[in-house]
Parts: sequence; structure tokens; C-alpha cells
Amino acid sequence: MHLKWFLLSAFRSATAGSRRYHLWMGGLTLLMLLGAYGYYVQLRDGLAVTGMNDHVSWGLYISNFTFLVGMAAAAVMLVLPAYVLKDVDFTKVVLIGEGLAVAALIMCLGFVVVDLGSPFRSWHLTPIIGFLNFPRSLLAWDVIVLNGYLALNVLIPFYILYSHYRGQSPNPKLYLPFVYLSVFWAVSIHMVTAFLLAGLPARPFWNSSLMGPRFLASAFAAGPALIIVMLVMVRSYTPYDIGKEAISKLAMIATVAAQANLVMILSEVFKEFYFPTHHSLSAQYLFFGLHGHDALVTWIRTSIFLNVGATIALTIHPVRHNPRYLVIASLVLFFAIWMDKGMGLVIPGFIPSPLGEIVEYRATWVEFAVTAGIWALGLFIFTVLVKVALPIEMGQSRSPYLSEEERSAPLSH
Amino acid sequence: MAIAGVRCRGRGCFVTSRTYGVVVVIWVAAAVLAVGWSLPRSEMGIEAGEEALPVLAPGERTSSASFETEDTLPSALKSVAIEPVQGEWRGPGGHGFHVAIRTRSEAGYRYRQFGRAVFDLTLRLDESEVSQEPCTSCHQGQGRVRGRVEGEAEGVHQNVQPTHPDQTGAQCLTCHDAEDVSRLRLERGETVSIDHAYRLCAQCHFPQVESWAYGAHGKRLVGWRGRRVVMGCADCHDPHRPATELRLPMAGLSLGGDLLPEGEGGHGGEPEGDAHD
Amino acid sequence: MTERRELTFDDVLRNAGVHEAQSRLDRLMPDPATLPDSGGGCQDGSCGCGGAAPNTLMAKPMDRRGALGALFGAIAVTAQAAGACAPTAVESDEEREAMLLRQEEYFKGNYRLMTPRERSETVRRLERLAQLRGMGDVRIRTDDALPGVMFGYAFNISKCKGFRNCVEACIQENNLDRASGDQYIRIFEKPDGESIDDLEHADATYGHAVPAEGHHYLGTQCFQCANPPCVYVCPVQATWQEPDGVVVVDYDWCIGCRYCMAACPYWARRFNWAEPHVPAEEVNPRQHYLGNRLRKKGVVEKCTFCIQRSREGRLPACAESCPTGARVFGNLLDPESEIRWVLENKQVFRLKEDLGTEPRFWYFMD
Repeated sequence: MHLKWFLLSAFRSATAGSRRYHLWMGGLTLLMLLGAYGYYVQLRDGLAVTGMNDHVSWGLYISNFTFLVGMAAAAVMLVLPAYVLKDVDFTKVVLIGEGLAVAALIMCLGFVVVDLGSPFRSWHLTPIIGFLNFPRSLLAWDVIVLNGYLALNVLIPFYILYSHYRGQSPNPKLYLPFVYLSVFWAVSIHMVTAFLLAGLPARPFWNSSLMGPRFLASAFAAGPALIIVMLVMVRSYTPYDIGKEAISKLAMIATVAAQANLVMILSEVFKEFYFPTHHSLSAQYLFFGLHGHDALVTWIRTSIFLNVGATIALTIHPVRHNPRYLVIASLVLFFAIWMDKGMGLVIPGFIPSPLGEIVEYRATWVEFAVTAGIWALGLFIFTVLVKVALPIEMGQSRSPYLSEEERSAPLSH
Repeated sequence: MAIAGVRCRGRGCFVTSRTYGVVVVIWVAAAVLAVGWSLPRSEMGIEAGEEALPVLAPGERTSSASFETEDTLPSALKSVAIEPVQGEWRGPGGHGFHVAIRTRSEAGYRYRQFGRAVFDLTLRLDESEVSQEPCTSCHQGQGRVRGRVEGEAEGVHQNVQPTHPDQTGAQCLTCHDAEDVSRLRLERGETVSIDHAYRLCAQCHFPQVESWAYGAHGKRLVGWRGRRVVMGCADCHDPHRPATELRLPMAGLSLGGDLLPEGEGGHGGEPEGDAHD
Repeated sequence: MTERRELTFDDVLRNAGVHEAQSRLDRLMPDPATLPDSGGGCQDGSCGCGGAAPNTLMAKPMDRRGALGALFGAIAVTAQAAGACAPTAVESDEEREAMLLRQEEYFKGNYRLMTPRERSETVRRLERLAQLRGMGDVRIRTDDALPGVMFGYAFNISKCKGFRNCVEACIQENNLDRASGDQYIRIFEKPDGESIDDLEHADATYGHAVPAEGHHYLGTQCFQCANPPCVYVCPVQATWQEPDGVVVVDYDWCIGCRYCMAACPYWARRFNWAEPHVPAEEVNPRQHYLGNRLRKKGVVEKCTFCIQRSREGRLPACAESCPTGARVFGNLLDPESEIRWVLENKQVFRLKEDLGTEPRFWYFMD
């Protein structure tokens, strides 16, 4: 009986809000509709409406997918301190982090589906009725770990919120083992995605042992950066109390990870350019252009510049402790890593082709529309999840079957 | 009560180091299982218990397939006359093979069908010289000319402007037998039919003829197994002008006639090099 | 001879592109009357049926896929019937038949797991669908690999003059999309003096008369590697290596993720970005299920050494169409084949040998 009221009140929370809230959600819906139209065009005419071709066979969709898996994994930076290390400052914000993970995972799955040439055959991936090539295919691993992580990040917060809604403390024996599992799982989803690229001897740009660690470092930099921005927005627009400590600790995590990320980038750059071989042609194309083709040079140089600038800014204590500068630096860092890990990683892997041909990639309006639609979907889901979770966490939303006393009892996590 | 290292008293739960141990053990076990599953079991090899892929014993030949029956043999090849290879020439494994006889065959075996398109595979392009014709279209043994008046023969053969063999100052009679123009002269005085010209070619071009006999040079008719029938030297090389001539490459029948790597028409940049029809 | 087994969950976990044991069930089950000559089956008792009476009690259990398919098929048929009653339904009989055929096709499984009956049924549906699309009468074979055969290919760089007959013949033979100019074969024009396997300054888009002075030519296509990276990465095992060495794609199982295209070190695989278009009068009607049958958009395809030709004993279109005789094709397991002589007597090399892909395509010179 609580469940029905839980769902009803969740629906009510999600659909009630200020004008600003409705404008935000309405704008996102518009973007989603635009994306849906773009996807319809893509389904109708085939992937030829995108900028991909036989040489550059993955483009904007997989670039975003690669980046967003990192966002999902970054939720572990909140889960680990909150549940395992029992850091009090984080317990208030961990549900928001898990909401971000859910939104990011749905975006990841969305990008994979829109990238498929025959999406209606996705059922071929299910074991037993289909044929999942596990454990040899890294993509099969990815399907399993992403869906598993999504399940974890939906079920654990659901259980906690539902318990709070019922006026009870959630039973740690029930959910803590899964929390520990999700900590390791978070690292593994991103390593699996990195291995997906790194395990291909045909693509020397990706075939490096540093891909896994670099993915983790950039994820733990960009993820907390985004979470900081989200938390600041939650603090500004809702009465939910988020302490300074949580944000400053997150900022510290993001700074250290950003520094590690820069060290790794430096390491890759050295390896490619100290004694360039024909394996370095892709890096040469990315940073300097190759035989006159230089479409990504400005892109990557901007990304590196922004990345370095944001990392330096975050390293400086006064800047990091100033909320406004912190938000700006976080946004810049997030954007820089998105540029570097998305288009700056996936596209150069295909240029030059394994037979030395250079064909560049330019995204079309369909790809922009669908990408915008999926990002809007992610933001929409995140907003809904936060909008539903916060009233419960603040004690305002409780099951109507509770007595006055039960309603106001303090709850643990 | 402590379950797997999680000690709970009242409403608080503490994590003990045993928890980490348990989690690590689970993770290691999972990793070991995953590695065990993923270790390749010889993708190229045979699973235990299965019968091995049958391999041919030395000297054993694969059976001639049905390609030699009437309905599967491409019609263009039905009119090929063939003869066993002469001299000491043998194919791989020491087996004999057959040579297509150009002078008696229809020119049809230079046409091949792929899908519904028919290709002309002639390497010799120049059709103006009389040497392009099968000799037997005019001659019928011993140099006799069919349906022509004696004495007009010189005019016909004047069209032939040989560039080969040129360094040696050779002339017509270097290769052709004066008595019977449909036979060729070998060094030791022996004459061979013009259909077995490879024996003459081998006198100067032994490495090429050896490669031809073993299949690394030249064209094989019909298929990759069964009776081996190969085309003769003169089927591809004009003995009077053997150099390969320039031609425009086939472009592919794309509707746009475009030579760009596919898909680039509207997307991305152009590849290296210029592309024009 | 078919080598199949009912799929169990153990198989799903254990697969790595290896051969599968022969199905006891299939040995007892086949009904020769329903099997046309499309390969496989135990028609001559050569697989050891030995005259054993078919055990009807061991009738093949309905697998989940079949059950789901039947369920959805029933729903679809009911919906069709309901839709047909609607006064606004304007579909012709042919369109309705095509839609039903496509629905049945949607639920079929991986080709490797099909019984001979399922194979012949899908072939029947595909041939009928091609007919309904106006492609004329096509014949789709399902020949298995010939025993004792492993295909090998050798390419003579001295002889290739860049004519591109092979490219054109391949397009005609394999029903490649005309609109996008798709080609399985790539002929590179390279300046003399460069390392033979260095393709950085190679140009595959030349249009001038050939052979151009100061250049040599080198062709690439799928090399049917013995250790194929593309097979390992496919998440649904829509691509695998046949016993005769050919790496094939089940076009109806491929989900179009294009991971195999990223994994191929030789740029051998193509994707149908749009619906492929072949003029009806140019369609090659002699097709193979794993080879040159008509594909649809959103799936990967590749050179199969003309599986529809090579399994009949004929040369692939590229090898047969080369005017200069630069291509040698044959059975690597036959010690007296031409390809073996080339490998043993010529200086051969392969591209990207250091990757360990073991391609079955060698290059040599005179």
C-alpha cells in the first residue's frame, strides 16, 4: 500500500514546481522531440544521414557514449565515502550522485542504441534467445556491466528512498553488500569501456595500456566537477541543505584526478611524439594535422588549454574555495574533458584508416539533433529523480499511513 | 551478530576488515572464472572428441566437382579445344595439365560472366594485326591458304610489325618455320605447333614459363580444382608486340561514376589524391 | 555435412568461434523429403544414421526463440487479420505476403544454430521476398564448406597493372550497392621506391591510364585471417570463421554495431549505411546465404572469396577476371595446388604480419 502512494507522490513531486522548473522541463522536452525527429529520419533513411562512413565508422554517438560511461562511474566517488567510509558529509549528497549515475547510464544506453544499424535486432544480444558473445567480446561485457550497474543504481536508492518514505531506516544488511558491489562495478564499467577500445590491435591510437587508467582519471575529474555544479544548483534552487564540506571534498577529488589526467595525457603525448612511428599518425593528425587534413587540431588544442587552465585554477586553494570560481572551473574542466575524451579520442582512432587513407568526419544535423535529444533526456531524468528524492530526504514527503510520531522520527541512511 | 564482517549493533552498522576480505575474495574468484572462460581454446584447432578435418594425403587429389558438367560450365568455355602440355613441362606435384588451343578455339574463352555482366579479359588490345586472328581462320595445315589466291599472302602478313624479339636482330624466320607457317622453330631444329608456343618462349623466358607451368603466372580456365586447363602464352602476350599496353581502369558502375571512397559524397573531406573519371 | 547442436546456456558461455559438435538430434531427425538440395543434411546416410528409425518421441523441443516467434507470429497474424477487416486497408496481396514473410524472418536465429529444415525455410522466404521486390528469380544456396579445403590467395604485385577488372567483377558478382560505389577490393597505386607494404602515400582513387610509370600496384580485400580480430569482437557472433577458412557474416543476425569494422586491421569490412540499391536487371541470381545475397541497410558485409563460387569449385570473381593473371587462388590443404607452389617457391609476405592475424592472403613478385 505504501508503494502506490510512493509512486503517486513521486509523480506529484516531479510534475509540480515553479515556473522556472516548468520552463526547464519544457525546454528539455522540446529538445527531446527534436532528437526523436532526427532519429526517425535516421531510422527511415539509414545511418547514411549521419557523417559516418566506412572509414570513420564511429562518430558523435560513440564519442558521447565513451564520455558518459565515465560520468556514470564517477558516482562511485560519492558512494564510496558515503557508505563505505561513512563520511557524514557525503551521506546527504550520495543519492544525487546515484541519480546522476542513472541518468548517465540511460544516456549511454541511448547513444549505443541510436548508433546501431539494426536497433530492432537488439534482442539478439540477450542470452538464450539470442547469442551473447560473452566473454570474448568486450561489447558483450559492456552490455552486461552497464545494465547491471543501472540495476544497482536504481534499486539501491529506490530501497533507501522507499524506506524513508515509509518512515523506516533502511536495513544495512540488505543493501550494503550491493553497495560494495557497486563500488567495484563502477570501476569495472569504465575499465570495460576502455578495454573495448584498447583491445584492438588495428587501431594503434587506442591500443595503449594507459587507456583504462586514463579513462578512470578523466572520469573522476569530470564526474565530480559536474556533481559540484549540480550540487550548487540544488543548493541554490531548493531548500535542501548541502554542506560546504561535501562540495569542498568533491572539489579536492576532482582536482587530484584532473592532475592525474594531465600527467597521463603528457605521458601519451611523449610516447607519440618523442620518436614518431607510423603508429603515431593518428596522434599527429589530432594535434598537428596530417597531409593537410586538420579538422580536429583546433578542437584538441582548445581542450588541452582549457583542461590545463581549469586544473591549475582548481589547484589554487583560494580559487577552489570560492564557490563562483569553483563552478566556473568545474564547468570548464567538464567541457574540456568532454572534448578530449569524446571526439578527441574516438575520431582520431579511425584516421588514417588501417590502409593509410585519410577520410575526415563531419557530423550532420541528424547527429546533433539526436545527441541533443539524448542529453536532454538525461538531464530530464536527473531532474525528475532529484525532484522526487529531495522531498523524501528532507522529511517532507512521507506515506500518508504514518502517524505523526513516525512521520517526524529521525532516520539513518 | 557479525555477518561477513559487517557488525551491527542497534541501528548502526560497522564495517570490519573482514568485509573487505570477503569482497576481495569474491572479486578474485570472479576474475579467475572470467579468465578461465575467456582463455582461447584454440579457435583454429579441433575440439576434443570431434573428428579432425580431413586432410589430403600426399598424392591424393580432391575430387573433380560438378563444375565439369554441362550446366555449370560457363557457356563461353564450352568451345575450348585443349591438348595435354608437351615436352617435359609439368604442373605442381609433377602432374600434367592441359593447354587451351588458341588457334582452334572460339575466341569465346576470353569472355567471362560475373553476375549478369560479361567481361572481355583480353590482355592483348590491338585488334588491327592479322596475328590476332586464329591462324586456322586462313590456313589449313601446311601453310595452305583457305579460299585465297596464292601470292596474295605477303600483303596480309605485311601488317605485322614486330617489336619482339628486337635486340637480337631477329626476323620472322627466327621463330616461324619457313616450310609451315603454322609451326615454330626451336633452337635444336625441332618444330612445334604454334599451339604449343610456350616451348619456344621458354628458350628465352624460362623463369616465366616455369612459373606458368606451376600456376604462378598466367590464367587458369574454369576453376581452382579438378582438371587443370591453362591459357597459352599467346592468349595474353602478343608475340610480335608483347608489352602490356596502357588502358583506362574500370571505375565501377556506381551511379555517380565517382572514384571517391564510398560514402564520402556528402560527408567529410576528400581522400588523398585526385579523383576523376 | 551439417555440424550443429541445440543451443544450451553452456554453449552461450563457452563459444569462442570453435567448431560445434554434430547434433545427435539432427542425425535422427532429418526428413529428406523436405530438404531440397541446399546443402547439409544426411540424405545419403553418410553421417552415420545407419538406418536408425527416427525417434519421434525425441522430436526437437520447441526452443524459446521458436516459442516467442510463434507467439508474436500469432499475434501478428491476428493483427493482420484484424487490420485486413479495416475498410481503409489498401495493401495489395503481395505487400501483405511480403510483410508476413518479413515478420517470420525477424524471429529466426543465428544461421549457425539452424537445423537444415530451418535453413531451407529461410531460403524459401528470402527467395520469395526477392521475387516480390522485383529482383527476379534468385537461387540462394546454403552449401557448407567442402571437406579438406582451406582457401588461400596469392597476389602478384609485379603483374598487377591497376586495371581494376577485379573491382568491377566483384561488384557485379556480389550484388554490391551501386549508389555508394561500395567496393570490397581496393587497388592502391604506389610510387616505386617505397617499401612495398607502406601504404601511406598510396592512392586508390586514380583515374588515369594504367600502368602509370614509376608506380606499382597492390590490391587489398578481406584476407580471411586465421586469427580474425573481427570475429572475437562481435557481441552477437554474427560473424564467424567457416571450416574452409572464409570469415562470413550472417546478415540477418548482425545488429550493426560496427565493432568488427573498428577491429579489422585491413579495412576489409563495409557497412550498408543506406538501403543498398542494385538494378533488377543486374542482380546476380546465383547467390549464397553467407555470400552475395541481397543485403539490407544497417548490416555489415565483406568479401567472402566469392563463397557462392568457390564452394562450387570455381574461382572467385576477382581471380577469374584479372587479365594479367596476378591472382592465384586455391586450396592450401592440397600440397599440389598452385597456391602451395607459390608459397613454397616465391618470396611471399603478408600485410601487418606483426599483428598476428595470420591472413590467408599473400603477396609475391616475379
